[in-house]
Order: sequence, then structure tokens, then C-alpha cells
Amino acid sequence: MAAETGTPTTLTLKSNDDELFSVAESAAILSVTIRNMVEDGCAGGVIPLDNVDGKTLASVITYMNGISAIPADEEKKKSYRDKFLSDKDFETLADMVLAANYLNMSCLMDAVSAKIAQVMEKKSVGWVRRKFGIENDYTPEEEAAVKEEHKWTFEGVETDDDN
Amino acid sequence: MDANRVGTHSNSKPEMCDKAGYLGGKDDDRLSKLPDDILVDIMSRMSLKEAARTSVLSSRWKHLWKYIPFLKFDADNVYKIMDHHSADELIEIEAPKYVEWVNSVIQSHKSPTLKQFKIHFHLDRRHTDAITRWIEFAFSRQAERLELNHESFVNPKRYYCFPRFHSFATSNSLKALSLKSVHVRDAAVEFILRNCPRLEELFVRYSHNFSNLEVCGSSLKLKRLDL
Repeated sequence: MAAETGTPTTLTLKSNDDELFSVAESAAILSVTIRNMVEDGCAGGVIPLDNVDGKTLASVITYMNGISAIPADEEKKKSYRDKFLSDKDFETLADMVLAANYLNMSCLMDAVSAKIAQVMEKKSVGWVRRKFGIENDYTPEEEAAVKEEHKWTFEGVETDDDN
Repeated sequence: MDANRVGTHSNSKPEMCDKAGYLGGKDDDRLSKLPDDILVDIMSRMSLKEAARTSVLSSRWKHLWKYIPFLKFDADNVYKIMDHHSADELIEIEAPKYVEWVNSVIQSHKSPTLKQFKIHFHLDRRHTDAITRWIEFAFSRQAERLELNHESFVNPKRYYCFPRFHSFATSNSLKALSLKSVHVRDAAVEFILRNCPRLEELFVRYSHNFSNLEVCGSSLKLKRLDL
């Protein structure tokens, strides 16, 4: 763990596209995956993160630095998370939820999942398909059958003409 | 607070990578490519209705919602029309639909375990068979939280009576049990306390039948008892 005296320990993280990042150990150990490596003494050199690309890792590290600079105040942490995610496009959110899962960062995982859910909620099927690029592979008959089966889920939702 | 890049591949600030505003989209469907457990986790944060509607998106999504570990049967649309009907009328008209809804969902539900099972509707003893089956279902899926809220304005004489279970109400999973407008007898509570060793919260409201309740169990973890 971090040295008790002197300068804070810095770790070097490597993304799967070979970008290197340096980050304070105290921030990086928000990731349980990284914390375990540190505790096992495997964090001496460069820590390879095979499932995270450089762009996503940069975002995650921004988050690590930002959230760890906030003292134990759940309100402030929450508002930081909201602000941090507010300008992220959906691709970034999808990459980030995968990274958070791999890095075992439950607070980021929770926040990103909640954000994606919030974006999808109360939207028509067509809207969600368009925004997320989901290809409708149902035949018209199949789709009608699924809709009929889930008729109750359409109560109170705008009718969806899929335009 | 920018990420501190050591490499030379890019000098841009991390924030610059994220175009403000729109939801990517493009041709590749990253959402559908997320692993099942992450998608289920995302859907678990929606209402049951919202989660189930994703089944229509594409075949990838057809069955995913059936794995969410939260079954919260909130009939919010019904409460909106409540002003126009008496409670009795409402039960007559809407209850059969509600019962059918719950039945059809639990019939197709696939998650082997449940974090929460919640019934919130004006039901009474006329629906005893269905309610008891739902409770059995919740126990069989090792529900951690079980809530029955039948609304206070149901005539107390018609309250559903929480059964004195024999075998299936033994649960190592149940942590919270909340019963509102349900008749609960001493013996039923005592049975639950003895046979649900993980129970931490027990909440009973609008039940008038306790006379001589004995709160005991071999390894009670109970933290909140509200009767």
C-alpha cells in the first residue's frame, strides 16, 4: 500500500492499445482489481489492463482522481458523478460500464448503469433502437407477437410508429 | 484532474474524447454487445414495466428482462384513476387484471433468485389463492425482501390472511418482510421468526390480531421490528 511517508506512490497503468497512464495509487485503488494487484505486490512495474482501451481508461482515471479528491461526503460524490457522466455520449457510457465491471469499481458501475437506465426509460421502442443503433431483427410477425405478449408494458407510453 | 498520460500516443485531454451531447449511435450496437449480466443490472434499475418493454427491441433482448432479480408489481396507472372509483369498484374492475399480470410475469420469470418481490395493490381475501401462490413463488426463488401492501382502505374484515406456513416459509435468504393491510396471526410471525434466521426487518402495519406474540428464535438477527 501507499508509503506512509514521503511522496505519494504513483502507479503506471497500460491500456490494451498500449497507452501508459500514471495515477496516484490512492486514487487507482478505487478499482478493486488494481487494489488486489497492489496488495499482492504485483503493481511494481506497469499494470496491464487488457480489457480497457486508452480513451476509456483516460476517462476512468479522470473519474478516479476526481472522486478520490472529494472527502467522505456522499452528497458531493454523487453530484460529482452526475456531472462527470452528464456529457458522456452513449458509446463512452457503454465502454465505461464494461471497464468499471472489469476494474471492479462498484460506485462507477452503479452510476453508469443507472445513467443508461435513465436514458432508456420512458422512451418508445423506436427511439431506443435509433439512439442506440439497435437493429430490429424480428420479422413483423415476430415483433407483433412479442408486443402482444408484453402489451402491459406499453400502457402509458407514447405510441411508437418506429419512424 | 485530467488523467496523466505517460505515453505519447495522444496529448488530448480525456474530456475532449467525449463529444458532448448525443448518444453515439452509429452502426455498431454497443448496448446489445454488453454482457447479459450488465444489461440485466441496467434493467434492474428500471421499473418492471420499463424493463420488460426492452423485449421488443430485438431478439437479443427478448428474454433478458426475465432475469432481473427485482419483481416490483407497482400498479401506478391504477392509482391515477382511483379518484373516480370507490375502493370496492376498483378492486372489482382492476384486481383481476392485476392478478393476471403478476401470474403471467412469474410464470415466465427466469431469475433463480430474487432480491425483492413486491405486491402493491388493493387485494383482499377473495384473492387468497393467488397471493399465497405468489408468496410460495417468492420463497422458492429465495427472495431477500418480500413486501405485501394491500392498501389501508381495504375493509379490514376482508384482509388477506397471511398463511401459517408449514414447509416453504423456511428461508435462509429472507432479510426483510413487510406486510400492510394483511391479517397476520401470532403463530405466523412466530413461525417466520423461527424459520428465517437471516431476517433483519419485520414490518407489519394495519393488522389487528396480535395478542400474545412471542418474539424468539435460535439465532435472531432481527434489527427492526415494527408491528
